[in-house]
Amino acid sequence: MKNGFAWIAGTAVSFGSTGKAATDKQIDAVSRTSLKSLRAIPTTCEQCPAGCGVIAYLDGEKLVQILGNPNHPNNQGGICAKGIAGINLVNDPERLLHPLKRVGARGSGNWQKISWDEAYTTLSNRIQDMLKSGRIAEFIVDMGQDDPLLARFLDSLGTPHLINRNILNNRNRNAAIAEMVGSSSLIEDVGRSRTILNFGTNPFSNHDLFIGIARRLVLARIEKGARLTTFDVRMSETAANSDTWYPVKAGTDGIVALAMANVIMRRDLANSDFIEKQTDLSVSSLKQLLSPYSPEMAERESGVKAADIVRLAVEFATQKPSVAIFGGGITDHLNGTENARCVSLLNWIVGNLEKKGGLFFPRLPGHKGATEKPPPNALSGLSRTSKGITEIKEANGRIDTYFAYFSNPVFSEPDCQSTARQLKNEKNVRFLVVMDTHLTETGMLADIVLPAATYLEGWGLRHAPSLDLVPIVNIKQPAVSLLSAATALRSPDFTVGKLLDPFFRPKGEAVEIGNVCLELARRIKGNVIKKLPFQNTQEFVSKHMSSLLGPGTQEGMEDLKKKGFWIDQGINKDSDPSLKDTIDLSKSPKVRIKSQTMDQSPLPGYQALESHKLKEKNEFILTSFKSTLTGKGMANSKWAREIFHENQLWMNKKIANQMGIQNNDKVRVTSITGSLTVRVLTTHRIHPESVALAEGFGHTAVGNVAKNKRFKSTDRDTILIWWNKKGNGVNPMEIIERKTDPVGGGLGSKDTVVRIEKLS
Amino acid sequence: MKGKKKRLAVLVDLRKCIGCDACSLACKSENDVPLGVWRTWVKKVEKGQYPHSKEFFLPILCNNCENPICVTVCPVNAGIKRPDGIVYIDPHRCIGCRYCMASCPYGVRYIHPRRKIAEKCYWCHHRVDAGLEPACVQACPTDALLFGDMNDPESEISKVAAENAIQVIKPESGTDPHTFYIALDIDSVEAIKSEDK
Repeated sequence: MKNGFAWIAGTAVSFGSTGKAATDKQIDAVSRTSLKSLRAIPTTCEQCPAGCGVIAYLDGEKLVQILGNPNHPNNQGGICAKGIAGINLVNDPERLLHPLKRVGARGSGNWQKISWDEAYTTLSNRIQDMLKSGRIAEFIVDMGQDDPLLARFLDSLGTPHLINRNILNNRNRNAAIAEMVGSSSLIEDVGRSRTILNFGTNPFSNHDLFIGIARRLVLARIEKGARLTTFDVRMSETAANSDTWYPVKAGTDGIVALAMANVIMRRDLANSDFIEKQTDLSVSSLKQLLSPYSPEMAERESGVKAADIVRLAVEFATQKPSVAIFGGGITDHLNGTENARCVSLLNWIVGNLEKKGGLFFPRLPGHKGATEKPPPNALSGLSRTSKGITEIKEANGRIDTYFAYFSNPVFSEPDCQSTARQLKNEKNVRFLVVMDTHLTETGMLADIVLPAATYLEGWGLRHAPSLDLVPIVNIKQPAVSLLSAATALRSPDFTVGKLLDPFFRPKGEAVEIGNVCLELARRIKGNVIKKLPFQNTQEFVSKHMSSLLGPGTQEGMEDLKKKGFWIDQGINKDSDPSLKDTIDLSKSPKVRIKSQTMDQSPLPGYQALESHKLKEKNEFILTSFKSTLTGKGMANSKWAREIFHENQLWMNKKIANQMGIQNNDKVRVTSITGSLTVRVLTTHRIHPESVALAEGFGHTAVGNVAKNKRFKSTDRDTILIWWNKKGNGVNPMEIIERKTDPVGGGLGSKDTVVRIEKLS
Repeated sequence: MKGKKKRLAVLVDLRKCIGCDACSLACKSENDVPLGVWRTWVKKVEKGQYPHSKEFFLPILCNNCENPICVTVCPVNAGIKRPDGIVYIDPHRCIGCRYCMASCPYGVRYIHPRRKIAEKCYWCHHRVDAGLEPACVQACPTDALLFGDMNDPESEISKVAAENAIQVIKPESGTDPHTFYIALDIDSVEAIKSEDK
């Protein structure tokens, strides 16, 4: 088979007849140098949770370009900088390529290469020991990324402790939504809205459904004339591209939403039919609940003018369809869950559930008889996941083995220095295993580090929520290191069948987490192997898929590999209510505005944060934010670092000038947990009582690019790093306090009060 | 084509640009652009006083001008303007003398640190010749970048250009640039000019 044309032929469509969101655009590309066609492999991006469909382009064996899949219903051909930077991740000369074992004291940084066999033996022996003596709860698994085989493996072991970062990141938000509607996430149909109120989320730079939602927001705003209003302490990319930005005091978004709801109720603009029939409160009791929250009171608390609140409220209730969306900016507070419930209340009083341009329940793929169901939602994991090692230790939990997969708590957890101390102590953590693509800060403390395959080197399936309410399944297939037929022939484990299938090997000795789990299961035997009866990840994916697709799979699987995703056009549509396009709300449970479980505050209300009453002139509330150019898989990306290599402290220009601080001056930022020295960016784009720092800087490990160092390597670019004199920024996590929202249980990471002193 | 000659152009709808840098990175990978130089980048400009402040994003790429002064000044005829409007540099002729860089009003040319010859954005003509869009246009997640034939009234770019007010950067330079902008903010352009000095 020639490698030439991998574009999708017009005849390849075999699923469904309507083709609701499916387009059939060609996906080919040419090489810049040879003008030959590039090999195009559709797969799924895993640089962030959005799961965009991407196409990896290969020139020979080398990955040269990643662009969006034009046929994918969510991102529709769009891609972000993170997605393209996947090339840097795969081709990085500093990648971890062999299993390593610590030599000397923990954290000393001396390593010895070991074989995978030794690593497997060590790990499986430890797990077997824990299983035999009934101490499996001492096995802590810290997952920075979900994997279905890892989840199965952990299930088969019984009840190891889980730290699931994807759930933790949105814990307050998920808790609030789950409490109200039973599903931990809702799809925001912003593409068809006319009025969009955005409370503290930044979909133009960082969002769980990033490109899909950003694209729909932009098109709604520019092509359909929707109004986007953003409340945020700083001017995020979304705020910059909104019709209006309202700088709001940190942690007070809840009262703004309540005051708006109050205005809507008082003026009888609410959808009283929906409130009476679909929520657990009556119109009169809601009115009573909201009556204390006047726009004037909200103005005093938040700084948003009462007149603006009234105007926006009326606009929200009358210019329909309308939707209120929210994100980390308001939920990562000690009153975060409460904030989320207050903003959601706006949606309930105008009856925004299951309505065009409003909110929808996520639609999941798979017919009723499917044995392999997509995970129901994050809700089930919510109760099982611990917040971190600090919390496990506080609960007097014993730790035998700590396994971190694509997770770097020593760098990315609030108050990360104390996490580092905990992990470094061998009495606390007897054995620390880290699996990642790079030698991270956590990896530096590990007893064994294992090289992980990147998402472009493995098999997988993802059930990303679809923004157009057509259930989709994304396939992840290896793009890199697809061995040529000649190489495959020379391989020791060659069989004729392999010539027909893409046969691949990740870079170096890197291995997919799924294959690690399967090998461990084979060594542990017993119950564990019974639940994981697969040879490798590829077999797991095709079995999973055949179960989802039903009969006639072979054709389906081939088609899936060519397209990169599968749209469920509704097999057995009637048998499974979650597949229906419209959900009959009268048959589903009512929206619970009054909480049954949140005893501290059964009804949504505003809680003023005491810690935010600043006492001194040089005190500020520290907000940390994420950029498109930072995050998991981006730390060592040369192209991303070239654009954004130092995080300066955002400070309101007027306030900074009053304190005698000019742009680029160095200041010391001190909190209870520590202090940092950082350069200031004076700007008009931040609330005077807040200061902001980007996350993902100040690396002390991972690689030279992450540390902003110029070095010689097989990549000719690394000698050209020109920003090496600038320092590599600071890690805000070092000074962020570890506080928890008592209602939702998530971290209030945006509530740290810091003092700022100018350094001469 | 309606008998008319092709004139390719890029139209940047700044109302749709979210400053995500996808175009910058797509270009880096497509054209193997080394560190330290760019063919396309996103300029970010802050404007106004708190709380009425604003941030503007301005993607910059080569204008592939109708009267390319860079081609005129080249002493070795390395600069070439194709019939469809794309201006490119013949790498076999360029001697790296930087005349073109000095003459370009937009500062989009650079000397390649290893090859020591002038390079710039040529709208990925290898892709265009194969019937594709430039990499940055293909990558743009919000369709802020449009590419097509300005002389074809049926092309999307002509339709959008006909419906909206379009501007160019530094029209006074007289080069007739063909990277057009919708909602170009005058102060963002001033910010570029002051940087040139």
